[in-house]
Amino acid sequence: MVFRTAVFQYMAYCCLLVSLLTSTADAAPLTVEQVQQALDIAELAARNQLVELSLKAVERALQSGPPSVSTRTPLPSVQSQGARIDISQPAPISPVHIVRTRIPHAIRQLSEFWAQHGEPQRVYETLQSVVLPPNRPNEIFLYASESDAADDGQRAYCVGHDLIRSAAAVQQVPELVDAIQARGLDHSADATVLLLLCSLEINEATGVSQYSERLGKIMTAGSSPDSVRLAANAGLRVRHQTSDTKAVADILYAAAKTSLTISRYDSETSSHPTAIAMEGVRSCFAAGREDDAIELLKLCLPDADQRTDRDQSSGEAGQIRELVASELYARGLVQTARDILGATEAMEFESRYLNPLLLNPNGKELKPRIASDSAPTRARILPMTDTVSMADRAGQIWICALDTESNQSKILFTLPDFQNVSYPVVSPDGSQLAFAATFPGEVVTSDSRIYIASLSGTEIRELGRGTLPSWSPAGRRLVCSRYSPDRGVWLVRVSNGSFQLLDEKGWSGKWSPDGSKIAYIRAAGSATDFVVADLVEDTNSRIASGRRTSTAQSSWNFCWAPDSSCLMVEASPHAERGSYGRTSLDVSDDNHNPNLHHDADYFNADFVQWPQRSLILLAPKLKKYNAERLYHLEADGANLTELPGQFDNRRNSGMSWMPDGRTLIYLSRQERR
Amino acid sequence: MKLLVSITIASALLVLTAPAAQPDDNWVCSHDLDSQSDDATQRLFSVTQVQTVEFLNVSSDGQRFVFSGKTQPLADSSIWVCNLDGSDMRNLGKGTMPLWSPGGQRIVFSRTGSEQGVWIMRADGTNQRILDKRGSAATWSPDGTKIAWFRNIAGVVDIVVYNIVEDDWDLVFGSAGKDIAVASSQIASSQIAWSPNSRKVAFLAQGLDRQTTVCSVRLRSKFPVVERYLAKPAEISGVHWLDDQTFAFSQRLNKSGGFQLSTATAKNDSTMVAHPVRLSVDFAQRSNISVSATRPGTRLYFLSRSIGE
Repeated sequence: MVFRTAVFQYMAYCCLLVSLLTSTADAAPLTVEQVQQALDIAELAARNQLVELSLKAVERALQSGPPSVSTRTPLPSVQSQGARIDISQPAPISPVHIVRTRIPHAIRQLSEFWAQHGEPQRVYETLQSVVLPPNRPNEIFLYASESDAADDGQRAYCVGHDLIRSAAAVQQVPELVDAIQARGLDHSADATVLLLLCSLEINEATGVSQYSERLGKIMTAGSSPDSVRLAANAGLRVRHQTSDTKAVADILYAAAKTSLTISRYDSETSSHPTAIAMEGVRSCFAAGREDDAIELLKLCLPDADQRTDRDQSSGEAGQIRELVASELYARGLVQTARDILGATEAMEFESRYLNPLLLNPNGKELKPRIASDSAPTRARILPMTDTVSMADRAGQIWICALDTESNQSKILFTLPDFQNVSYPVVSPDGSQLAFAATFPGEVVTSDSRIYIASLSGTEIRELGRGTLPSWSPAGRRLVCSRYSPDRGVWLVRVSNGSFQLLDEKGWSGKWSPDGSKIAYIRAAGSATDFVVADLVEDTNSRIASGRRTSTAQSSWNFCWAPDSSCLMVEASPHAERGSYGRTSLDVSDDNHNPNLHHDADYFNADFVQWPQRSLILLAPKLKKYNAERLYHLEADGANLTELPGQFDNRRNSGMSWMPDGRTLIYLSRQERR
Repeated sequence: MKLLVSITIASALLVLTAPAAQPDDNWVCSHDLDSQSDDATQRLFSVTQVQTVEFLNVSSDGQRFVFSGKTQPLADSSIWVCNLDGSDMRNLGKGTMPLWSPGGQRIVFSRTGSEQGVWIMRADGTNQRILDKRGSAATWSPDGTKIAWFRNIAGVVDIVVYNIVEDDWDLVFGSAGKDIAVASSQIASSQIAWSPNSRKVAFLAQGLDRQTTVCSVRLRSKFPVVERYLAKPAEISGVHWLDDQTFAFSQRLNKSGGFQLSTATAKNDSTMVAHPVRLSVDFAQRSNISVSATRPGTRLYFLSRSIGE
């Protein structure tokens, strides 16, 4: 090992000596070949733990700036921009290009080695001489790595990053700031990026704000793509480390706009602008600059006449349009999206992404049918105000709220146009009510339509044909039932009224409180099964099947236990046909032996459980009772008692609890004459 | 020229001394975190059906494995399921990065090439359907109601959280008001880990400082904050959330070594110190990756390969 090290050391010193002797002693940059040799030596030295030699080699190689001359090949294809190569052009495979690509890569690797083994002050001085070369006192060279198509350049690296890190290690960041400022490069994007990063390193808020603003102003279409990438990256760092949304938006807006503009002039540029543009869009939205964000989104979209074959073949243009749509729809800017993308594309996006997956436990692939947004309805909704007399609305259907602690009822709103309203269910957040309704002349159930009304009584809209609605836990979907045609249990999206069939032989779906399951009934010969569709596990299980003696017949009416473990159902034991009762079925176990509570008189009644109490609320329909009043009874069927506080002399039914577990929403209709 | 010759010779030596691939080298192993005994780490069986196993996941009831691997270097990855002892091995077809649903009835996985995207299927391989053609590396939430995956559109990486119940999705980074302090392009698209309560997701991000950071973000909160747990500079892969603040992952501490299992508990000051999992000596000199655990996470399951694979 000792021998090998000595050999390497000897060889390396020889090469360095040769390269130093053959290089010119003035301030002119070294040739490409000399720099390549020096980097070879530096890397070899690092591999052999020769820290000082590797530092020296890099320092010597770049103390006069990057190489611009090759002794072997002339430079016909290299386009220079001052002392730097403009790599926005198609990269010429020239020795100059190769070495300039190698410099940041090599120094990045070496910096890791130096950080572990080098003397910090010496490392800092070396990197400073690379970025701020002493022989080029009015220039700055950040040596950015080439953009990588895989990460779109946002992980842009430059030697400047390692310079700041090394300055921080010896606590000389303020001195570095002075050195940069002394070069008088106020209009240089690279110098400003470096100053901004220094300010971030020492948490200097004024500097961050000042340099961000300056950077936003000096970036123009003439800036090099490398500078734009480094600036964008600096913007992301500001976002990491500060809460200065204005500074972030200043930088990223300018970087995004510049980058998009450059790409329009030069579609061959290797730096893909989309990722930077999206960061610009998001930072503008975050800073409340919605107009700027939308301007950037418009710029992202290629003009129809500028779409290239490459765009079309790679589907890139389509992807960008998708991205633009995502950003706008995520913020509810639906109309803007339609304006920018055009109605056809917007509709396509809406149909694809607002209905991303159609889960269908039966395995049938069914295309959703998209209803138009918030279908207009001729139904009116009339909020109840203090100035309205109840007598004036006596003939209308009332939606009422009963406070079960104070036993007081009040009318929330009335529905003057419907002949029949049924199955009201409050949304999980307590803001909306879903119900089924028919107009005069229509047939209840087969003609019923589902409506969503705000509980304030100010809005109503129709979702489509169906009945027996039941909310999903977050209130974005309903499960409902349709009579023929299209019979079955359906899922419907509340936002746009798109329907999806769950089971064509099912009826009366109810969503479990935990959301993972939907239970419904399914005819099985002369008996009825309960089916539990597990949306997560894609399974269907039948419960109470094969147990005809237990539940020979069940009604549409059942409800979930709050912990989603069992169903409370209304059923008739086979042996006692005609004798109905309520019982509990465990959804995870088909081996039931239901213990029916014989409350036969209340069959086919609306019923719900009383939260936190072992009571059932129900509205029996038999005339021997005061029909369609609200009652409560014990879970075992005993002690039928009329619920106090409901409106008198009216037919009350259709109960649903508000999320507070105290307020009961119910329907109230005029008594039959 | 001398330099060139030296470099060439050195490179050749490195290649020649690299460990050769061994047949029967895909060990499926377990480790009991609570046990101090010598047999805390066990080799359960070796996978011989594929040449290289890439990814392993244990079902939440600890009864079945699903894994993906390649039969040949250039072949498509395929998905396999088996019992904990390696019996009842079944091939479910093309795919990679498979993960069980919490109830073990479904598998979410990814495909590349012409069928690229995030896919879902039943545990018997039927009912396959694509969820997102631009997605990859999906993970199921412990409560089963959500699936998260990486989505890459035109180079912009985001995390999609798909809600199975509501049939709705949300973008973690792209949604309104979510100015999250992590640049989307810094996300290392390797794996997403869910918190035990299904309210947060963790992922790996790589900063300019070249450190891989374990980040987590609370979903659906009004002002989401990314918690960044900065480990020591290390190459991290395959993060798995064990309990409230504890993660398990593989990390490579030096370039020549293999990946080693580690656990780390995040502290309130957003730091995280990783502790290597003390595996038995047979495993310490191997590369140990793709860790997953049953819940509660005291038993880890992982893949072990000889270094150089």
